[in-house]
Amino acid sequence: MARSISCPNCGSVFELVNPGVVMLVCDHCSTRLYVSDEAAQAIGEQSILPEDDSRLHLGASGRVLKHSFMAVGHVRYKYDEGFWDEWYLELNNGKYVWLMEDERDLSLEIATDKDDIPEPDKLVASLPAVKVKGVAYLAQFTGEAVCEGAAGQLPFVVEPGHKYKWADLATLDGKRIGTIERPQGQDGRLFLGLPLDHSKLKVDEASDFEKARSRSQAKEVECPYCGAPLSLPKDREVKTIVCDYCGTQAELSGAQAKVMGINPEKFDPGFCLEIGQAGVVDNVRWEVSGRLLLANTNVGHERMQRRYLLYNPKKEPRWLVQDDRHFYLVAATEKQPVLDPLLLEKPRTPVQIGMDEVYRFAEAGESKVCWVDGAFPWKVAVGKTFVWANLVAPPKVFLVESDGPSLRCYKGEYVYTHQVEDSFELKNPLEEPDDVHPAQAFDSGPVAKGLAWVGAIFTLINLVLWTVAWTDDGQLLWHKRLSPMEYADDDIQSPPLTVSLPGALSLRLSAALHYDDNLEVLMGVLDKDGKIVMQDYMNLSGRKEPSLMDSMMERHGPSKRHLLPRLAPGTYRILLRVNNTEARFVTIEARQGVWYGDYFLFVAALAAFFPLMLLLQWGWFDLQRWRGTAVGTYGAKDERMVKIIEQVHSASKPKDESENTHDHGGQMQ
Amino acid sequence: MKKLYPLILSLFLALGLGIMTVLALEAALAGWGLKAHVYSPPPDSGRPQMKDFGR
Repeated sequence: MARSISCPNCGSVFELVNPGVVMLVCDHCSTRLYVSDEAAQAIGEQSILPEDDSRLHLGASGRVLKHSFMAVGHVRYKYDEGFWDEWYLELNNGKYVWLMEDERDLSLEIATDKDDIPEPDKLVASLPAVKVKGVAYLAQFTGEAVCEGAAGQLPFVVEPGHKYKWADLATLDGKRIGTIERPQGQDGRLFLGLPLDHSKLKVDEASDFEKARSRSQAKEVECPYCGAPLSLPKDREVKTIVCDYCGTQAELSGAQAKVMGINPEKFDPGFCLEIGQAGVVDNVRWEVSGRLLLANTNVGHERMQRRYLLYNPKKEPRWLVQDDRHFYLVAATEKQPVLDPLLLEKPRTPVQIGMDEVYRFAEAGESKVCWVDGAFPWKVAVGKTFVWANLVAPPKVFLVESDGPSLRCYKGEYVYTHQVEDSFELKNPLEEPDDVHPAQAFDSGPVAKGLAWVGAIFTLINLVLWTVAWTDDGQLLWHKRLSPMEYADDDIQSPPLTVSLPGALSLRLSAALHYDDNLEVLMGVLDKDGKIVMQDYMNLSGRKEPSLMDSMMERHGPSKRHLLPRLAPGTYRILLRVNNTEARFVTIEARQGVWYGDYFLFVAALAAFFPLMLLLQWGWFDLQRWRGTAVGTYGAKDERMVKIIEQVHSASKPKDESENTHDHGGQMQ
Repeated sequence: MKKLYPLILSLFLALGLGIMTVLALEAALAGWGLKAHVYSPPPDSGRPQMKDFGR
């Protein structure tokens, strides 16, 4: 049932549908009202929120996850690296949800009742924080925020300037997230929900009046160091902007711009993409919004890394990372590693990410910001340091970064230089890498791949043919068991045998022989005219004991197969002369259509050369991938490095120390 | 045209290996390399002589 509340300051009347609303900010005079027992009490100073680039505004309507909504409340919290917004949405099913918006990351959360909500500052990143309905939520970031302002209707009392401890939570797979907020002197609040893609949030077109109001409030800012005008992009939220004239990194999250750091003088950071340069990646148009030059130190070895912040108004920002001559493209992810990769040392160590992915640890180290330019939606300045670890499942890469209590994760893929050239339509070709990046997938090229496939298929065909040749015994022509009486005195002649099948002729001879006894057999093949067309000799030696196989096959004594070349189709006889009187019996077996399959092995070996070469190449490539990571010498050594870092050390301190912020949370995001 | 190179090379290799496989099949069925030996022990060895064989 709706309640009517009137503002004690200006008398405006509000209809409250949501029985949970405890606080509202008067639309007309911006007085914060505390709603109690059907009456409203003014509770302090005005609460005014500055505009930003959010797609939402108070009173905005649209659809989120199949429900239509209206934004009825808005709170903004300011923290070290900027601020986040919480929008209180009324859904068409009468329910209320919170839409959290932090650096363009959206999430949809609902307040969840739970006893013993932990203190945010006692949580440890990547360790379980709370368990709700059997699902463990791990702490991601913790910190302290100040409420900057509130507007509209809210289910709890919010006081601008009030301090809050907070923690961001996520499940291991990153599919569910949560937030703990603990206002000073009050109980903690737990919100649980899901990360939300921008495409799932549809906001109705704002009215012309609202657009005009938004435009009119665009800020004019001057560089706090040299006084030059700073050109702020109007379509996005910016917290760090770098002065084009003096290279000062100005912090814009407060009311006034502050100096955070200054770029080294007379120094070319060597970026390959310009600020504002646009490119198309995965059918999305991105614009280079900011650039960073980092000095990466890994096991004492230093190398340069350049990062390009890619901006698209409807997407979460991405980083194009240029690691030496290699590139990879990453975006922030809620997924977390099961074990802290920053503690790992041994390359190739498998690390589970979320529930379903396994990456291998490649390298870890420390980074120092050496150069910044452009605009960033968070605070970043020269001289800031953080630690990082790289995990790979080529071509995928998982980046973990930390500057203390919080752990930030990024997920992406290796990108080839030609892809960067094509995406950003670069006129000058980029330097091709001369080594293997840990995240680089083995790509042999289409020629080697094609040849390997053909080779593998023919290897298989020939091995199958070889097996058939080995197992196909052909067709039985003649089988005869001869007693000593039969073979001792005269030659033995077979009945006429019709040879019709293609293939060799096989003669198998077996005899029951005593140990050390010998059997010699002369054999000949006669055509139908009685002429010998083929003749040969076989020899059998006696064995001491029949083998197990002989016993099982009921064979007695030695046995030998002899192959003769193919005969033209026709009728033949086989002639035998046995030179032995000791054997108890001699068995002869003639078969036709027998395959002499050794040739298939030769072809199979030849065909296998191509896939084997590819396999060798892959093995070599994989060795190269890990070679540099193990000793930290991956990437070409940059001789200018030491000088640059020295320059950064001296230049990153602005002249007026009092203007400098004491911010230690300068994440690279 | 450059995109066709892998296809053309693969086809050439397939043709080459195909011919070799057919040849190996022919060799297997014809028993190439197999020989019927003529047995000829020394005349005074007492062993059966080939000239006597097949009378």
